Amino acid sequence: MNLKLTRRHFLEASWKGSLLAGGCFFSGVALPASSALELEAKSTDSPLDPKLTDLLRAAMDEIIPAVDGMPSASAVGGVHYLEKLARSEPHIKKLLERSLRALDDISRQEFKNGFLEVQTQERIEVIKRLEKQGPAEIFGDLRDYIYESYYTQPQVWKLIGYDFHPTNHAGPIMKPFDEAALSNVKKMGKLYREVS
Amino acid sequence: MARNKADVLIIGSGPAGAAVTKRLTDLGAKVVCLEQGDWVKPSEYPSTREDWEIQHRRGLFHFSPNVRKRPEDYPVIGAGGNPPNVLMFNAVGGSSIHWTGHFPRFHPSDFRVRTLDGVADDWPIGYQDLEAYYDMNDREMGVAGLAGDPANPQRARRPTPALPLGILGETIGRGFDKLGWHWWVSDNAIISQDYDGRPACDLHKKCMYGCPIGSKASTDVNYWPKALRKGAVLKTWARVREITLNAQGKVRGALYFDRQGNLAEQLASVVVLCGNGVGTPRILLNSKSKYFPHGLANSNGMVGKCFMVHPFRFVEGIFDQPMDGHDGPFGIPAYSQQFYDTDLNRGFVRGYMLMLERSFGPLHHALGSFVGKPAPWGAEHHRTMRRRFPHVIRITPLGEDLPDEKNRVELDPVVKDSNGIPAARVTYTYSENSTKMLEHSLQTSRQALEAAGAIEILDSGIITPAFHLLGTARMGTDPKNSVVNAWHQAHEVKNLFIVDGSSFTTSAAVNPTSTIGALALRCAEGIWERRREWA
Repeated sequence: MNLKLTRRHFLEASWKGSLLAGGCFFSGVALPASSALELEAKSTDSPLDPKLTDLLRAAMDEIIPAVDGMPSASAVGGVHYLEKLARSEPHIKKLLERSLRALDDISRQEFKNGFLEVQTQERIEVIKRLEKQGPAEIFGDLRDYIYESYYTQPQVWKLIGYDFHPTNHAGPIMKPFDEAALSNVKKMGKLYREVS
Repeated sequence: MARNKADVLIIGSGPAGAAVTKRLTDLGAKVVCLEQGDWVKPSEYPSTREDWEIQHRRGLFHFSPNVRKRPEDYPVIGAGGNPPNVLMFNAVGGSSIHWTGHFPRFHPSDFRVRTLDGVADDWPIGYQDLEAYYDMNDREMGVAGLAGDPANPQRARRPTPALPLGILGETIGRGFDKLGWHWWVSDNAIISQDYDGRPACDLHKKCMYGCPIGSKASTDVNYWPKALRKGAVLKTWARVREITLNAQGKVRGALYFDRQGNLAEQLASVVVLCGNGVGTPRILLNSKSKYFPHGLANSNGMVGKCFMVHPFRFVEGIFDQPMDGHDGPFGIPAYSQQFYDTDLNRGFVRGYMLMLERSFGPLHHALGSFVGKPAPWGAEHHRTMRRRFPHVIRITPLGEDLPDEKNRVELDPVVKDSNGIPAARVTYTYSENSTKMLEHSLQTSRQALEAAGAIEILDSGIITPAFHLLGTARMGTDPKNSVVNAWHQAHEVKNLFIVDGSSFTTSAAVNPTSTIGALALRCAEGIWERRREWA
């Protein structure tokens, strides 16, 4: 039996192992306790209205939920990331506010209650409605910023097997080019047109 | 106004301007270059930071000047049936700061399009005129690759060996082999071994936004340091407003704004314009005078016309096995020129190249990658991401565009840059020939990916025209339908030369940078040979 682990095997093993590891759990996925507590801490100077911050947290956890052994968006600091972004980029703050208010409006129209007051299944319906009724960018902006908040997190990278390979550190190990790969092509005759 | 006269004034410091400057300085000319941007510090490249992928969406290294909005950028307005979203970079090095590094050459047949296929025009030069300059440019830039491709004329041993193909390169190679199609490992201007004082690529894969260690060629790390040591003068933050004329209607120099917004004039015996396929016609059109009321060298109205880009689409195959497209050098690992030449049975003239491409990181894939299909939200999100990342091989067909006078660069009547200079407006519509070619390329890309084992295919459709800015001050023998002659000399102004993507008579179906560099070196030697005419 070959016991040598490739980088990917190692990462997959680590990911599976994390389900059993100690620390603070978010729907079955372990993060170091200190990291989790830090991420959970609410910012005291959020650029968003407190209700919109709660709405953002609720919406992002439907868009990237904690399933399949992966943490939800808020569990990896999504709210904090987008608060920070909204603080530095006022136009992004406006886009987020527009999308979140649209969610709340649809929820009230459809279910007579705001987005925060309805249950998960209804929230999913509300988001589907926003996605379907458009304009496309109102849903698209919200989804894309939430995706950004998630896939810029090193703790997520570890779970999906992505190595960042920072500059000035060793890059990935790759097999050198082997000319034998071209052996069939080398048997072909000249393939370009000559001109006078 | 500062008026120290140079032998030769170069406008623009990218792949053309740097090559002309270095060659003329080597030969003994006193050269001054005006560059509207600044040096970029390698430590500023987003590729050094964990949030590097957000540059797809915003930031100072976004590909589009309209999004970056750095003070040295100028706006570019898109118009027409397929309004372009023009991508470029303004800094020492120009758009070589921001490029894949792919370094293919034209085929000999690309210079004889009219003769062979009855469309467009022949170039007034041929492959044999450029071959030595291709080699010279390869040595200056630093190239990795392998000579011997049966789809191209034999070429000199590459300066460094080919870069790793990676799992995705080996996989698609087997697919091409299964179909009996041509493919070859690409020439890339990314060095695989230490070369010319620069370190070998360490395969980090984020260099599309600038290589922080100088392994990927950009002219700020290869041509410029050598040219400056030889005595060339490079003035940064120098944005040219117009090229000036003397009383005889010959070029006298250029008026430019410095960083503080002061206007200065640089005098020179010869001016070489290297501002790219949009920037060059913009400067010419802004250089109006009593001799040239419609813009410099534009009495025939051809400046800005025949704008070409390469028609593209992106086709991705999803595989069961990881393909690790996020690892390795950027560049292009391999390509196929199986469909490069005309076969009228396909329903279009000329042809295209299939490029195997690596991709970015997980955020890029979540947002829809190059095919614009975001991962679904909700319960399926993680399963889809696990299926896609890193399991994708991307094939990018790159087709030959044909010159059409309706596709053009003009001055926008309203929008101006931060110095009040009218912005460029670029009008473009894909031709029927291009759309048929891209439709064909979807089928062949699909075939190749499926032969390699793809379980699902995703297609971008025809993308917004964006890069490889060509043809707007075209080379030709007839002063009625071209702007410069075979030596890049303006037909109407003998001491004005234009060399960059705008000089292309036709676009071929390959990335243009190696040809731009070769043309620039040849242009420099032509200027030097005529130095007795400068006075």
